[in-house]
Amino acid sequence: MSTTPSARCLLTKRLVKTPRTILQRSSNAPRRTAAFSPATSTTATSTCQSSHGFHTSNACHARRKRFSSVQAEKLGLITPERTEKFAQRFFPRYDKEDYKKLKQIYTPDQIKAIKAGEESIDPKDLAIQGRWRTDQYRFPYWDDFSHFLPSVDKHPETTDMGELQVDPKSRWMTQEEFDQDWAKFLAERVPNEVKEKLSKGVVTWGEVGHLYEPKPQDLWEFVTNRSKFAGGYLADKQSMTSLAPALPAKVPGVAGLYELEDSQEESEMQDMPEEENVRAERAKAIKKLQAQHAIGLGGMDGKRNQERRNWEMEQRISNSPEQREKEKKKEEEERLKQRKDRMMARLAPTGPAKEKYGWSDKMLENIQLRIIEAKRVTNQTRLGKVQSVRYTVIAGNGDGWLGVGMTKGIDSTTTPLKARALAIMNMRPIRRYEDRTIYGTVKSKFGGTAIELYSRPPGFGLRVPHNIWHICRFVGIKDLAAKMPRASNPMNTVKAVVQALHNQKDPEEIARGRGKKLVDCRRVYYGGQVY
Amino acid sequence: MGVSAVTNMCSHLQNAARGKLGLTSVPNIKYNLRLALAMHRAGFISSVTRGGPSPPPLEALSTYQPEVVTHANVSSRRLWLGLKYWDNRPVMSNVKSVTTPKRPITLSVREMESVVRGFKRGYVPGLELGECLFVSTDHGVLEAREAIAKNSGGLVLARVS
Repeated sequence: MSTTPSARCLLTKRLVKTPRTILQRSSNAPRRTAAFSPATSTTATSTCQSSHGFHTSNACHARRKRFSSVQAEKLGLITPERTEKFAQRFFPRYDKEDYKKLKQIYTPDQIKAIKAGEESIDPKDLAIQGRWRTDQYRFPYWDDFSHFLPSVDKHPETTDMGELQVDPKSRWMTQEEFDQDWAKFLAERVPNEVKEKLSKGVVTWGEVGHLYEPKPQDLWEFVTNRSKFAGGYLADKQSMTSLAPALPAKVPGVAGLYELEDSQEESEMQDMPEEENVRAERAKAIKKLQAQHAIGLGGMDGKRNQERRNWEMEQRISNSPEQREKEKKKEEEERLKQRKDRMMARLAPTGPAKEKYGWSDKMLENIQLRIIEAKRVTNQTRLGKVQSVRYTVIAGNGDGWLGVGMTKGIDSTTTPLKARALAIMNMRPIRRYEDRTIYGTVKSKFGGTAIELYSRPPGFGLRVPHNIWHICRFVGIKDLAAKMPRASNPMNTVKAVVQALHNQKDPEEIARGRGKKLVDCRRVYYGGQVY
Repeated sequence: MGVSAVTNMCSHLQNAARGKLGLTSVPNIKYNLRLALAMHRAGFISSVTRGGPSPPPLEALSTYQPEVVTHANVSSRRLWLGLKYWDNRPVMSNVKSVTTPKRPITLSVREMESVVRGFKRGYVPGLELGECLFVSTDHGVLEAREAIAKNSGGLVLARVS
């Protein structure tokens, strides 16, 4: 056995040599390194040293080269002069003229950035390291990375409210902040006449309470919709803790934060500068207002009655037919918007749908999805039955686009989602005659399912089996007849129909093959008013 | 011979086209020649050339002068037909003879009109998208639409698509 299998050779050597190597090494050297260190023994044969020992067959040595390779440097291809010449030719620096033109396009800051870039990048580096791609796989565009391409670029992290729930900067408002907020809120609602009086100095903020009382709706809005947070981005958003001021005495963490200390406030007012004095006065007036309103809620005094009358008047106005119509329209719009949002959410449960699929908004709005088949399937292995679910989903825009998504998975929550996404991504255009039927008769077969589709005249309708009917609805085919002479397995039906729809004959191509001119008489005869 | 030769020609043409041949030959018979010319008119065939057992030179298909037909060489005369391809597919991929020697099938003009519109008449199913029907009439072998234009029915020879 002159050609001993190298692996075995190595193995035996290691087994023999290992104890000695361990002994030779210092005691703190890890045992593993010793055991797996390459054969350091001087007695190792040449075959053992050259092979890796991962397989039992003989090592295949590299063929001896007939010509020694010549380096580019020796040929004079990458001498410093040539490199510089190349760099100057292909990566020239901007001169004054160029900057003049650039200044027309870019802002001074951008020009600065361009200059910094010019200085930081050596054209020689570009010449040596840069690759000017001419291969067929090069990108067919120039990208300045100013736009986000969903199919190429990594998805940016979303700063959605849903994902960032905790705002570390937010905190409860202090009493003063709360008063200011309340004042600000009220100032938006004070009637114009009062505002005018205020601006002319006829009344002060302290007297506003006599002229204006907030409506119950306003109060309700303040309580429910106004955030009680200060600082951080939650300050501007609607918070779930809007009723917090009502809780101070009971909630342990909040207790003591919202104390009303009138005596303390008065003493503070004297020390305040003028502007703050005014603000505090305003706040005080508002507090008075609050107090008055509290009385109004308790007993039905004159003001309360007035308020009620006003409210009734408003109700009457809002019940007028024009108002109702307006509201109806608004509701309808809202409903449509909600529907669209729901659709978008369905299309992409995580992240924006548009960027995921690359379709336009209009396309995404019209996409319909339908699960044609949800089936529990079993794989019998020697370890037992492996259950999984299979989903067949179709997607269409009702205007000539159809996609099919098929997935198999363990759980029935993510699997249909994947199938949906696949269906949308697989959407391809389907040719339709007059946007209502197919071209001629198409036959196709998939597995045991055979399908025959027949084009039909306008008004014929869809006289087809139910699964094909759904597909037709999604594609936007209105007149069609079909036969399924054999099996009617839903998944194979879908596959066969898609195959058939993609394999329609093209009359234009047929005519071109035969060297004929083709004119569609229907269009000519009806003056293009066929559909 | 007659119709049986046409039947043979149909299957031969289909085989030749599916085998992606450029030039093929059929026996030089009047019936074959008429059908070949009708197909040429319909655009299924690029050239029809009379010749012998060996093909005429490709560059001279339209100008080729065949040798004189004599009693000695008449049986070996062939029609050389150029086949067409478009978009990597044969222009004529299905050729099926309708009339067979055992069962001649004829269509009147009225029947032919409805067949051309896609309805089944008798033994002849309606024409589909891109299909042609060749009919032997008093005016010679014609495509069904030509026959209707000339207001004459006849023996249905072949369906081509």
